[in-house]
Amino acid sequence: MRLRIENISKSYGGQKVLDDLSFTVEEGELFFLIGSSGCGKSTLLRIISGLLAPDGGRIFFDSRDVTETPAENRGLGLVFQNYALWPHMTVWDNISFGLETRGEKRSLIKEKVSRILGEVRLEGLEKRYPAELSGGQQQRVALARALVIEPPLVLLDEPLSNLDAGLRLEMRGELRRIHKSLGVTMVYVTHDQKEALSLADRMALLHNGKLEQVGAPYELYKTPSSSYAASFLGETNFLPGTFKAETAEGWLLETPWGEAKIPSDHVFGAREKGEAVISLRPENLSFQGSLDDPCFEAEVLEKNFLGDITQLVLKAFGQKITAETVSGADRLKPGDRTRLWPKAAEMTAYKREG
Amino acid sequence: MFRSFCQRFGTAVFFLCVTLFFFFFLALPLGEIALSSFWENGHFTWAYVLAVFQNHGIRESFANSLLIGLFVTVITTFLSLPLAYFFVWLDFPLKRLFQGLILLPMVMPPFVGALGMRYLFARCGSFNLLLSHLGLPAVDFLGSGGMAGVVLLEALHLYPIMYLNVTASLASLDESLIEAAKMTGAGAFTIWRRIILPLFLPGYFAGAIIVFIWAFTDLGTPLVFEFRNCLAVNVFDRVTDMHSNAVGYVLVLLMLAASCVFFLLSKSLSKGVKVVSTSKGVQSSSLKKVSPAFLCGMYAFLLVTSLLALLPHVSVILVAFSDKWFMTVLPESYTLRHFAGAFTHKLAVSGIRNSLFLSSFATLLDIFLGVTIGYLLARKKGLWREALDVMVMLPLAIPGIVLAFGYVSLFAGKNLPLLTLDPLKDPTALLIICYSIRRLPYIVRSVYAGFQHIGESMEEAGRSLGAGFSRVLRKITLPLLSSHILAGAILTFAFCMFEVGATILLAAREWDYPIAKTIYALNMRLGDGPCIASAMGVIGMALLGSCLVLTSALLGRKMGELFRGSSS
Repeated sequence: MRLRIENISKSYGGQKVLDDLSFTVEEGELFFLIGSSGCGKSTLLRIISGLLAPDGGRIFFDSRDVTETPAENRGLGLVFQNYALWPHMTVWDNISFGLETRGEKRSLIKEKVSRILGEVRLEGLEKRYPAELSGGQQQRVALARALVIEPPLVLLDEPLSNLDAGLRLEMRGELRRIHKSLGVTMVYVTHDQKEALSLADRMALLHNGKLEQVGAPYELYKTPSSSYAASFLGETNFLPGTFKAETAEGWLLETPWGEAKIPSDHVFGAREKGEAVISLRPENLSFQGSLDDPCFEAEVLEKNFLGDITQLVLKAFGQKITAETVSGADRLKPGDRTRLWPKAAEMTAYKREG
Repeated sequence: MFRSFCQRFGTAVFFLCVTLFFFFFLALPLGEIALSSFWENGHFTWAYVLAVFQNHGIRESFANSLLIGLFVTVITTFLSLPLAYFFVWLDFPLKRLFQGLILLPMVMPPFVGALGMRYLFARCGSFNLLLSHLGLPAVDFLGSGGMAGVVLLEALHLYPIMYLNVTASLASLDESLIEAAKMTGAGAFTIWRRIILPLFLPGYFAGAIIVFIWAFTDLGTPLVFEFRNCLAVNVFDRVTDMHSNAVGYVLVLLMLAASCVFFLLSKSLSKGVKVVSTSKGVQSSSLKKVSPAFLCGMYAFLLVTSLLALLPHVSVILVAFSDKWFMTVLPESYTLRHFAGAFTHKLAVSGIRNSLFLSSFATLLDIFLGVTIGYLLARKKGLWREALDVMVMLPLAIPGIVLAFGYVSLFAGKNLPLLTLDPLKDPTALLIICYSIRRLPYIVRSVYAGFQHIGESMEEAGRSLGAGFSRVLRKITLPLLSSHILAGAILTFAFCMFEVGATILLAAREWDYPIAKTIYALNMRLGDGPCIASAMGVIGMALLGSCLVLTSALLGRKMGELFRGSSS
């Protein structure tokens, strides 16, 4: 099923939580809604589910307008952040509830519940109560309960946030497998960028109730359309600059280390002679290069070993800059001076606000 | 190592002391009752039990008591369910005002309300006089020799307890559980039947049993209404000849057995399900707005309920201020004389003084026991923990009248060294012990809830910074726990002040009477007696009201969890 959100708005006590949001989720997509806490992503999910009414805008399932349809008639599956498993029912009863509500035949209920139990790898636990299950098992019951009714759209509200790191990683794999095997459209809310980058087909980034950017994970990471998007997904360094002129090879900017050409599709809100903010991710700063190429000198302030990579905090142009190297590939230590070569082709630039 | 040994030793000594206390003042009196019911001149006998069951009058009074208990439970349920729904899930204007109004009945014990209600609903009471002025025939409002009046009074007094309980149950229901059902396509009825009801019933049964036992064993209201055909009054009538006729013991045993059976039944029904979700309860953002038509119906229900519930209060206040009230709808003139009487009448003054003294001591004893037991239950592990929990909660199933009967039987006429426990000589010690045992579950529950709320990590954080046990207790635990201790203490004090059954049985001499028995005694006197009794009732109402407002302010919604027969 294709989900279309059109100009959705919602306010609480005069404060806008969602501000004129519009986007589309294609059939069979695993679509992520990401953003920091309080950005409105869970509110949007509740509006899609029908548990909350929007103040304005429409919601379409394929071409059907469901804005006024109550939650119980939308036929969706929803996995709650706290799982919301009914504590007085066994695993089997929790999962079969939706099918019983739909008046399905006993034999069919048995078949479907057994199949989904297999799908989420919970065979043998049917008679247990939620309190007798581990966090990961509870999460899978919640998922099975949402999936067993074979909904055209499944909504997941931070379903892995209550699990420990190891289990979260394992469940990510499970979710990807289940999504592939069932091919159902899924909308997944999270504030965990790694979860989103690793699982999403496409994602929407929300900020203060507004849509910052929609696109594939790679696209959002490589060409974030705003400085907020650049800082939310991964780490980045912001440096001041000035737009000079647009050329055939891209925008020419004056940067603290001289002129740099940034591809046009990496530049947002550019204006001739306007002030700019340049986003330069740590992995796009190289410690090796030719002296003919643009580079700058920096002083090493800190060196942090992070396992496979080592993070270096340096000082240049009166501000801190973060760079990284493969662990063991350098001999730098705090107090040393070094040269850094920025990769202009990987940089993004934005119009400076205010 | 040494510290841990000391802590374990201290726990063991405390547990032993509590066990001994409960053995002497709970198990022994109950054992005495059971023994005296089946034992005569050194021989086992069924004679008294048979005599009781063959006596038509007693069978009828037992049935009447059961009916009172059941009717009151059913009526309070039907009153509280819509109220709880309105106040937990809906948002409407004047919500706070009505919330206060519907809790008001708690500020007056039902037997005090009965004093005034007789003036309104008796054959020649205000309502029948009003009917005759309108040319309509008189109605027997109090019906069946007063049973209807007893049921009405108790239901109106006890529904707030049921309401608080039902509200606590509904409010703690995680909204996402209902939303999850909605998402599967379930309709309102299915959600109510399969999700809300099974999760709500344990809490409901835990509260319903308190209401049932209270109504089933209440002595004051039937006495004031002169409805003598119930078990509690039968027990009361037989205290004086308990040593010559063992039927009284069997009646008490019957009352105890019935209370225990219903208590155990409710406990098995209220076995809570373990909620694993991180329950947020009902959030203020999810309160529903309602249609104008629904709002009108709801206000009508709230108004009628509040007015009905306030009738006993109004009637007592009218009697307390009435100068002359005979064969008129309202008093002919008003006076403050009876209030002056309440502060100068010898009996009234000693009643107030005695109650203040007894309740204060019982509360202090309960604070000490309650905080220690609450701490041990919440923070310590061991086989004794379950035993302690059962022992402390047991008094909820044991009516005051049963305990008092056991005390009279065990200690009357017996001289003990150090402590006077003979109620005929001085009932002070026994009254304090009886009050504190009866109210201990409330303070333990309040303190236990406080410990749960604080969480062990707060104390551990203190210890990790080098603070010792006493410093953590002084600086972290007690300040955080103070509202719960205070709430439990206020509630204990308030209920001790108006403990009726045990008081009426244990206080034999006029100068030993606490308030409850003073009101009862004054009410029996001719002349100004009932009016001074009502004035004392109004004073008590003000006192109890202030106590409940304080408790409610300290505990908020959690107040309902104190009135439960079991934790769930």
